[in-house]
Amino acid sequence: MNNNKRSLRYPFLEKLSTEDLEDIIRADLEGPDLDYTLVSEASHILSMRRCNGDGESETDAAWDRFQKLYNTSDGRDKSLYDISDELAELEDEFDMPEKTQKPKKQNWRRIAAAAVAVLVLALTVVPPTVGAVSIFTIIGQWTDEIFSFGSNHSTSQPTLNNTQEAATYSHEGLEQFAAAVKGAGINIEVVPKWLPEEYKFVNIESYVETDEAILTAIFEANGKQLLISISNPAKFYLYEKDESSVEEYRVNGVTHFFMKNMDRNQVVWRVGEVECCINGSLNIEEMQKVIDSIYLGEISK
Amino acid sequence: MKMCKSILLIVLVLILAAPVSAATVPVISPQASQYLSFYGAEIEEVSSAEFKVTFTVQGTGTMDKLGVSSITVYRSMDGSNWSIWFTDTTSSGMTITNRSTYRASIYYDGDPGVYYQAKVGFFAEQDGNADSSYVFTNIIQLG
Repeated sequence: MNNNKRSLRYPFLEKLSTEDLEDIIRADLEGPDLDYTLVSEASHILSMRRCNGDGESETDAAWDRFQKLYNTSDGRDKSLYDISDELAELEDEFDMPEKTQKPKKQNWRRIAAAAVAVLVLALTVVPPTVGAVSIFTIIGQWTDEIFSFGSNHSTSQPTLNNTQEAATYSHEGLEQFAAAVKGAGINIEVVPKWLPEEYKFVNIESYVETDEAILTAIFEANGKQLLISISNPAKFYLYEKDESSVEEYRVNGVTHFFMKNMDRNQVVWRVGEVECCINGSLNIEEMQKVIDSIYLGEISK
Repeated sequence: MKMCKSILLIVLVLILAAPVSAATVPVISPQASQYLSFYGAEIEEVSSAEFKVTFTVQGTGTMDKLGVSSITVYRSMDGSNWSIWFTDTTSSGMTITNRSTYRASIYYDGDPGVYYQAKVGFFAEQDGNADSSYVFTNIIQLG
């Protein structure tokens, strides 16, 4: 142990008690800085005493003092520091329940109330930048940048194409597209029967496999294209949109979602397992008319 | 005091409720797009040693070039600790020209019991300008 002994600039420190040494260090910490060497040597002596176990005798002495002076018979069951008054004040200030009360039921009531509130708010309150449709049947979700259907399940009632009447289409391309859609096994009314006259049919792009299909009809007017896409089954697509609001347009029991993607308008909807999208430079009124034309003869808004 | 607690409770509920709704939207890449209309991708098991990444992308019209620029495949042994396995930018069938819509599948070898997920980067190019975006697919575990 003496190997750690070093020559001290303040040898008197060795004669001080541990408490006095601690006072020096505390004074340096709490008040103006003391001489660095003084504090350093005081700290060193303290650590040496602890290493040598010198502190144990002091601890024993302190324990003896405590037993003699404080652990007396009239102090049984009493706190060394009586803070009952302060505790009572704190309880009053924070409205704490009496010890005799049984707060469990009250807590459960609060938790239940909070759970109900969370549920109601989660279903009804929607953040400003996020949209959702229908409390119990969410079928469309959007932010400022993206629109998407939340799941692969739609609750819209599909209108089966069981009528034997030949539909009338404003464009031959629409008729071709309706035939291609039907040929891909999609027997639901999803193809518009009307487009503005200036639009000319360009072509149909199709990816048809045994269990899925995506077909796109392209029309063009004034150098700008209009695309009608039908996907079966519906996929988890993300639709680009800008920050403008999404408008819902309900026709024939189907909710159609109107949105803008820069200078183009876009309408997206799901019916049954089929997901559809029309995007182009049509204005909103024209888009609505295009949507209405899908259900011509059976519109019920 | 009880009134204060009630108000605090309502505020807490409002704060908690907002992200619940927002979290259901799997937004990956922001902004409207001049050339991209919609896109999506999924990963599917083909066999216990093979999977495929299928993607669909549509431009806002007929694009000069359309498709995916990269498919980054992540893998995990336990479903929670993930690492990038590889990034594919060269497989044939990732892009097409002069189309408005493109759908294709790229096949990869895998290992039984291992989890896989992919990040698919889309792009649409026209007249030398392009827009890009990406999505993460679902997760699969090969049987």
